[in-house]
Amino acid sequence: MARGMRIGTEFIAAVLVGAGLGYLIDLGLGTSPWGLLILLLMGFAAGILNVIRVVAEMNAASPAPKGADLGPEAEDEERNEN
Amino acid sequence: MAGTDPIHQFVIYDIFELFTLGGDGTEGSGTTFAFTNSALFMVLTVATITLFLLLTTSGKKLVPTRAQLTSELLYEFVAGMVRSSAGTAGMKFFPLVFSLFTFIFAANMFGMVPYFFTVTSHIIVTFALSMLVFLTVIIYGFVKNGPKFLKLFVPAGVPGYILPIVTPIEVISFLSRPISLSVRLFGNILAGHITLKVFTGFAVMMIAGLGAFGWAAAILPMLMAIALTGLEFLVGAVQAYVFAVLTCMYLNDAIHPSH
Repeated sequence: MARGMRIGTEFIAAVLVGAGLGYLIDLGLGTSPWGLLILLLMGFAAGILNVIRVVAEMNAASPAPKGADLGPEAEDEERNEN
Repeated sequence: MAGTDPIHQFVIYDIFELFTLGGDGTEGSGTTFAFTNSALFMVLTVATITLFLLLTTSGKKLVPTRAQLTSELLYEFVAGMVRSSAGTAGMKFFPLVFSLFTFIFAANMFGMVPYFFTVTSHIIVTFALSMLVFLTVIIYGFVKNGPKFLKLFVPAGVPGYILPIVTPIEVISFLSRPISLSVRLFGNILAGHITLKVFTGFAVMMIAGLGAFGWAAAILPMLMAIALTGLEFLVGAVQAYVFAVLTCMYLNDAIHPSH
């Protein structure tokens, strides 16, 4: 539950911050509704980025056990393990 | 029914008034600052931690007593966390992380005592804590690295024509940190305490409504409440740990801003 909560809040927080920033920009510059629209979508992107980072970190914290079947190696994919 | 309102436990009330800012002296004007039940439990939390650490470390034996050992374990636990996430350079932030961890942990544990107020169940408290971390990261990051701190928003190895898209996303991602940090702690504690209260409320309602059969049926929600109490202790400890670990990771960004 702690993990799910973590991922959920990371995503929602980014969307909220994006929407809030966009709204403030609209208020300041009078560009309504473009700031809100664009920054909301940017917020979604940032949320996905946050989720990807969290999950990557969780995966790094619990590596697959030795000898586990992870499927065939990807040959045509560039992987950057970090 | 008076006893079963699940939200009632979060009510903040004034214990005594401290002082009034502004206003013209008449009743109800200006902003009155009061010592609330929330403030009382913050003071209790801090006092408990301080007393515990002072008492357990007063002996300073080379071979520690059991009490001294708990303090030393607490120190080692947080120190290990700071070292592994933020490196040895992060140890100058050890007091901050240690205070945050012990404060949230003790506040959560205080909240599990019946009739006690849970400080961390109000978002303004958790938000203040996370803004403290956030501002520390920004200020220290700029003081230590200068404009290089902004490299945090420019991931290495990204081609120039994508940067106008990636940088705002990184900025939003960075700005969302205090929100997610505070909402996570607040949400977990709030939801847990409401669930606990709702389940025990079922038992009260059954007994009031069904009589003798209600006493038998009330065992079921009470069993659930017992299980949830255990879970809540775990959640309280885990959330304090998560808050501290994320603090370390954000501080790591301030110390080493390149990705």
